[in-house]
Amino acid sequence: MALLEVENLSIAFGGVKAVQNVSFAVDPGIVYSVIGPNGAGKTTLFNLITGVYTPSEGEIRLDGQSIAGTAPHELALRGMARTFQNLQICMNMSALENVMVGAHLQLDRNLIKAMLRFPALARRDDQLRDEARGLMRFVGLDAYCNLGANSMPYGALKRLEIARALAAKPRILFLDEPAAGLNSKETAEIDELVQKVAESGITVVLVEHDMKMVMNISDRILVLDYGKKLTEGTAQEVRENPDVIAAYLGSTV
Amino acid sequence: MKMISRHKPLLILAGVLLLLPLVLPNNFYYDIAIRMAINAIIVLGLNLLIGFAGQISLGHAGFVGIGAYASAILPTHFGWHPLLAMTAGAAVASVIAAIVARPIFRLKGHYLAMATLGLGIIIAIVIKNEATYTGGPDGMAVPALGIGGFTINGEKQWYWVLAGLLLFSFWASKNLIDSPFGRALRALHGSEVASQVMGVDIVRYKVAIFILSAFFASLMGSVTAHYIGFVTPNIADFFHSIELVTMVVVGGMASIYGSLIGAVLLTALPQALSTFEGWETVVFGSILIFCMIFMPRGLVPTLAERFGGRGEDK
Amino acid sequence: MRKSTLLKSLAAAAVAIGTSFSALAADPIKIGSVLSVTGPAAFLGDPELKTLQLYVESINKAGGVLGRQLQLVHYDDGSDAGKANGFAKRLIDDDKVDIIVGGTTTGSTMSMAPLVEKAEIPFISLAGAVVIVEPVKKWIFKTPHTDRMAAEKVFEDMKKRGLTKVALLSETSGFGASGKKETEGMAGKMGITLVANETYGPKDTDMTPQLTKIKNAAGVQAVFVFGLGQGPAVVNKNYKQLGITLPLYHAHGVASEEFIKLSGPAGEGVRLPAAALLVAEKLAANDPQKPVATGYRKAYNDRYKEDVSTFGGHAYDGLMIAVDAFKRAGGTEKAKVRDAIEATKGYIGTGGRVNMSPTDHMGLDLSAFRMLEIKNGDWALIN
Repeated sequence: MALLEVENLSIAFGGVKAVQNVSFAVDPGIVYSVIGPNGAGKTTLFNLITGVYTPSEGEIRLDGQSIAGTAPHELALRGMARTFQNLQICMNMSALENVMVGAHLQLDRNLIKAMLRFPALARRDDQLRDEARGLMRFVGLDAYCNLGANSMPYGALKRLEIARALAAKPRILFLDEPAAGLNSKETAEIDELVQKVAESGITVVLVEHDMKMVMNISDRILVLDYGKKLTEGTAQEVRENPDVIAAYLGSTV
Repeated sequence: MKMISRHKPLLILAGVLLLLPLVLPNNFYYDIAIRMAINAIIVLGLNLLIGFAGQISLGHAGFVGIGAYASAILPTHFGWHPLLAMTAGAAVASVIAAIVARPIFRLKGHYLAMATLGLGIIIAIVIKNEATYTGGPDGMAVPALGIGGFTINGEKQWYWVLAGLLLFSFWASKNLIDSPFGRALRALHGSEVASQVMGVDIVRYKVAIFILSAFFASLMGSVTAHYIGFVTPNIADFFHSIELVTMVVVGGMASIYGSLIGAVLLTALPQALSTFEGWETVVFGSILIFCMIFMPRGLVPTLAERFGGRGEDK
Repeated sequence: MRKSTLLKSLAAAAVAIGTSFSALAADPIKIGSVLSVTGPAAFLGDPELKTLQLYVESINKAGGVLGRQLQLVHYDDGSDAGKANGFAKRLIDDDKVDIIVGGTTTGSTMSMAPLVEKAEIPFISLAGAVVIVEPVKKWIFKTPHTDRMAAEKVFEDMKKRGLTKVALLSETSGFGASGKKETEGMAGKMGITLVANETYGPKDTDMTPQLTKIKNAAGVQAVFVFGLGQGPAVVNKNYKQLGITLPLYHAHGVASEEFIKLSGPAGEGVRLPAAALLVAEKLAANDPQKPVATGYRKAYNDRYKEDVSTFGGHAYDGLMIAVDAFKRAGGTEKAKVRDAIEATKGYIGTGGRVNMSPTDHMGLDLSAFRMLEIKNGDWALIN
């Protein structure tokens, strides 16, 4: 059974239909990419699935259960995590703490115990700190562990978002343009990182502009254009689809 | 070892509190120190809300007033034990905070400021108008705080009570900030959408911290009432709310020790300036403007950074 | 590490500020005062402070008291009773004053009361309410007339005119609320029936609704207004607009030239109880209060170029009673000074003749109030 199923999903903002009748399914353990020209509705689709927006119509199912309109923090409970195209890093915290926030749901969040620093809570926090350091290392940010997030370069913040999402131990991870704004060397590193994540067994849903990266790592690709599904298939199938070529107006796919 | 390094500023504070009586020449200075401590604890709670969670409250004096008047009215008119009255006041403040918090936190920015402002003003008006119980604008006397046959009496005893409360508050706040709860709180300030996606139920956290700060404020209102022995509606009025917010801002938002410094300075300043004969308001205003222009992030964060620290003491 | 240096330097700064608070050697007689010079009660506190400064200066020029100079130590509580409490501590513990004169409002006075009682220091309050001296507190005295006396004086005058069915209109401020309570109590004692009992807010600008109700109240013969500031003047205007012709009385709180100016022609015929100070020049030549009242009036006018108010007069009386007590006590020993204040007899002040006793820490009787009427835009004495 597919891990994530999307059926006839639509949303309109005023008169603009940002996503129209989109259906697709993501099997567990694969890398699934969503591509399309600017304004095709990719980020909107992410926001719909991760609960930031409520769909006007259609159905979203995780493990066969409907999740359309569920609040983001409840989706996190079900094993969903994501990163943001326009960075959503908490600049008022250290890099390590940003990662630790990712593990929020695995922790004792009691206010009283926190104020009195119950030993169990303190121990778990120390343990988490080590785990978070491990994740920083995993995404290649060992050097930034003790820094405030506000003193990190852009490229590092992109990875920090991934580390934070991984701290949630998600089953399905949505990455919204992880390579946007990065140079080719950094893009290659992100490419490698996404593959590492996928190999660890996490289902990855990716929005990305860098076609080289997409074609390289995706098991399946969904192409959106003007909010509608243009086609869906393997990298090979998509590359050869005449509609896709037309949509990209001759840009080398 | 680790515990000591985590709480180094707290140990310094404890040392200062312990040694301070050696240099305090008379009860008046004890009085100032006590008022500083009371303000510092209220401001600390308010800073958790404003600085750490990023939510404004312009009506916090209302909660201080609830605590103060609970401690004045319940023992005087109904014969309650002061400790029970204090607890009841804090409970009422918390319940009011809980009831209004959900609708209030649907609002943002200016609307949130206006809503909390309104709440504070309503509480102040009720206190002023229910003269049968509150004594109206002239205020009322508050019985002494006795615990099991022992009555807290005089500035020196109150000093040690407040020193203990102050240390506990800073310790607990520091713990809170470094806990999963505190991180969630700061995260929702940093990015609401990101923290939601990480599983933080942001409304729940905003409500919880609002209640907590109201609880702190009410308890300290009770302490103020018992310490001074007299309450007037001024304790709940708008200007007191603004004074508290000013302490947060001057000391430094999202800085625990900024709360202390803000409270200490703004409590001492009017006393130090009282010799300026009518110009104190002007001097006071100038100092605030100077602070805001040259240290917009507040004293402690700005100075900590300038002297090369890590920028944030949390 | 750096934070610790920061804290240390701050502690050092605090101590430095601290030492500058400390007072000088205790050679002069120290008169402490906490007044509401700013804030809502400033209209009371400002003339009080000016009066104290004026007379401390002139007494010192004339050689001081018992050969010692007077030193005035005053703090402005900004009309905040909580601050008054803190400043009282400062006066007692840090400035070590010999006596406290002041406490502009009832709230500030009451917040200072427990402190002065505990510290055993004489305290002469300038605030109005009865609670300050009733029950009697050992160390606390006051100079102004009480709201109860105002009600009594007004009812006395009404009864002389055969008016017994009265409508009360009071302000919801502290002054008005306390006045309302005392008036209600006094009405019962004096055989006056309150046929209407209305209130208005301190910032209201139209009292027509309340006055319409009063106008329609069955059997109403006179109206008594208990308020401060602008409200009572607005009442006068609305009263004329509604064509009400019943006798109209106000309380002593609006006894000032300003009230006549604000009311304009609508003020004609309005009566109120006030201290002799207000009509100093019109007093009979043999009136014992005449020299005191005209003297204070002239001194204040010359120095500040503004009209005197009864509030400044309260401060004058407080200071003079204190000075008199120092002289009779032969020094500043607190218990002796307190006893001397309590033994004050026949002191003639701006507020009236003061006869203190162990059971009366105000010492004024109804003769302290004169009944005044506004005639041709000026005060006229009613006998």
